[in-house]
Amino acid sequence: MFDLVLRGGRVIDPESGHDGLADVAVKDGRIAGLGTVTEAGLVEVDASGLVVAPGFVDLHAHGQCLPADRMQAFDGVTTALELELGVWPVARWYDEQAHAGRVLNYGASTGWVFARIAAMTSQQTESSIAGMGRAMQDKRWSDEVASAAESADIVARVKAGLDQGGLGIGFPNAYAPGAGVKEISDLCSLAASFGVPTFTHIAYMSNVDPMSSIDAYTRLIGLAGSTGAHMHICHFNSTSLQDVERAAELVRTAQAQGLKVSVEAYPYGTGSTVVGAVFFSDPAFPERTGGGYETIESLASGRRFGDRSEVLAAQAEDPGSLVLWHFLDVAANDRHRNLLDVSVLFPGGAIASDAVPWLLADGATYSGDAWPLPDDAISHPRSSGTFTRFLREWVRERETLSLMEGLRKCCLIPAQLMEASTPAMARKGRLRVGCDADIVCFDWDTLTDRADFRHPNRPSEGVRHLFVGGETVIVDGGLVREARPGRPVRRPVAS
Amino acid sequence: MTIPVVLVAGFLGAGKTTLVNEMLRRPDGRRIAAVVNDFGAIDIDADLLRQSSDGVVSLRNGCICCSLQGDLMRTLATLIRRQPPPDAIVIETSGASDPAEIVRSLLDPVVYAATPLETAVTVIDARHLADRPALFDDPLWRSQVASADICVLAKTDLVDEAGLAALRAVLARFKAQHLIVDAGDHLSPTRRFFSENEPRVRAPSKGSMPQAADERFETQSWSSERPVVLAAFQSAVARLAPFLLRAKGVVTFTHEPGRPMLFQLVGSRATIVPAQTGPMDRGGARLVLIAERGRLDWEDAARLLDASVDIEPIRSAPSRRVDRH
Repeated sequence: MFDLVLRGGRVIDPESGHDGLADVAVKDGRIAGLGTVTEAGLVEVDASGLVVAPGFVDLHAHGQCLPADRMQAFDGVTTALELELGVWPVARWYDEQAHAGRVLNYGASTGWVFARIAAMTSQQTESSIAGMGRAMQDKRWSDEVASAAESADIVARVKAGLDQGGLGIGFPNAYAPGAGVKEISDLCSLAASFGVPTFTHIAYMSNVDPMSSIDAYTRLIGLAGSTGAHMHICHFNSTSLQDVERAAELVRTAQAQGLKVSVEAYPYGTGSTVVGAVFFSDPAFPERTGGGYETIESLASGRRFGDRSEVLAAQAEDPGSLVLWHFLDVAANDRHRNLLDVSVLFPGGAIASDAVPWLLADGATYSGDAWPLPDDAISHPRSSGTFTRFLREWVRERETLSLMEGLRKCCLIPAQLMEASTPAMARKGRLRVGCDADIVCFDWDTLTDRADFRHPNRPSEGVRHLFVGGETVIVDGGLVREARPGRPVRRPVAS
Repeated sequence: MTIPVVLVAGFLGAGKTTLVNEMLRRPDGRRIAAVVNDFGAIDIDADLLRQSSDGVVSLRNGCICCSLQGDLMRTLATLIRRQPPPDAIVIETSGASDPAEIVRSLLDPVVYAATPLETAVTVIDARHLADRPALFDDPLWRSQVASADICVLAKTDLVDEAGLAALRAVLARFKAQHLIVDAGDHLSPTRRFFSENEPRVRAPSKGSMPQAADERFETQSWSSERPVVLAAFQSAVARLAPFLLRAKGVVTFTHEPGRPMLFQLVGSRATIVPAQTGPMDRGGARLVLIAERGRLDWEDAARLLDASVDIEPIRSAPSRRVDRH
């Protein structure tokens, strides 16, 4: 007898390409049968009318505690990894999670920035965004190049984290923009020698040199080439701004040469800013407006313009005439929708949430048991709705991808990015006999995110059942409050 | 339901707190929530003060005042959950902060949808600037001015006329002149920096605005039954912007006819977000333009906007309507 059988759902597995009605049987936390299952299960779930898919794997989840897990469960997530910031010391963090009890599978990279805080400023801080903030009391770790001795100390600490099973190295460079390239390059060589990926929040976010996003990506790609490390780019959408097409071209070219560079994105637009001059100087301007440059008339002088260069010259003379356009919704402008699409739909790219912790009004992280989450618990809506928003808008409404391909970006691609160095990930992100029974069942017609800035604690809708390691977390759209089936995802620990 | 935000930047001692105090004193019927650096500097008439609890000072006129708690987004999120919620939020930045970063976080679409940035104001201390012209080269000062939709020139009474004229001439290199206003003029900052949304509560306002101040500005509305072409609309706005203080309205674009967008221009910053659709939105465009009296030729303005209207299907008489107040 099986522990659990899901009957008659539309089973979609991006690895095998299977998309059809089937039963899924679970035994001892693993998938034990697929197809027509005749044997009964201790628990039988009618999945007819629902999509049955591998649970989503989030590479970028900062919440890492009970309430964050629960909100993400309703977003279809079964494995939530803290890879961009990472944690340090690694072993202690895994012990703490096991002790606290988790709903989702959890794991973390070695937190370079926390090793740096310890090595350069002797501060002990908690491995979190808030902990990083508190360590700003002595901000040399953020602003300064490490001395040779400090650098060696940082590398040793990071290596200890990898020895303790850390899933890679987190490089939140934006928080420590003062770090030198030599230090990072040593750490990338360390990652390469361990065969683990690195996860970078690039140091610069600007479309203008010096210190542009393109500068940072070019450095990152250089590190992939010069050290052989796998360089993963975090939230490609938010750090590329208007240069995302160029950035994507650079990443594609690097990939085509065999460099290990990968990307993730979340499906929330950032405010896109366009300076007036950019618009007028666009060579396609006459086609777009249906009129040539002669239709532009300077209000002040009544002068008409003959061509593009005259417009640009006039604008340079009077910068006051430039209007900054902020398109705060990608639908406002096809161009901006296309820019967000470049990162969200990047071939081989993962969807990852950058979910942030739930904070109370006094700034404390909420880690309590209340369900639904208290109304005064605050987070970014992406902490609740990243995956369902992506599937609803990009897959169901806009049909930019098939459901199979959309799901691939939510489960299989992130698992594949990790599995070379973390064997446990080869059993996640797919529905195959022998794989972990991390399974989401959702109603495809109604699946949607519901969170916004005013109501970030609104869980997504449409996830009817969710299982982590074969244990039920969501049943009939309701939370199983006592469920704590999350298990560590960790590299084999050196003995 | 959105709660507009005014951001007040400027160096330490420039006059930010004075401006915030003035808004709290004359809230123009709005329940303003002010986020300030230093409670001690808030100088409210004693008869306005009501109570202070959990770090929030309540005023009798419905306004409240609190200090920044940790990160700004959390403070905002906490404010909009208050019962009753504020009608407007004023944020005083620290003198050492670069408002560009704060503007960027306020323009996160998720944040903007609930608490739209209405106006970024930078207060400039005329006396200080006259004494220390090196400030013009200070990167922080420059960023504060560049990030502002409108600059307020404070303490002009402490500089003689010639000095002030010289100062204005240099300032004009950094900010269009019509976007620099005097702190001393009579228009209440609440009115100047928040556009005419309907306040939800009409509190009896003690010091009502002198009408004369309004006569400095004129308002024109423009509407079209048909959607507009985005690129042509941008071009029209770019050409009108130097003559406008602000513009606001609901616009439907030809490429997304089913989706009315809220357009807002203040200074030289334009934002476009999805509009909360109402019964009035039938696929055309309605704009209100505000300019200093006599500054803009309204016929020109209307002609420019008319040119952005999609006329493909119907090549008949223009459908627009112009009303001037």
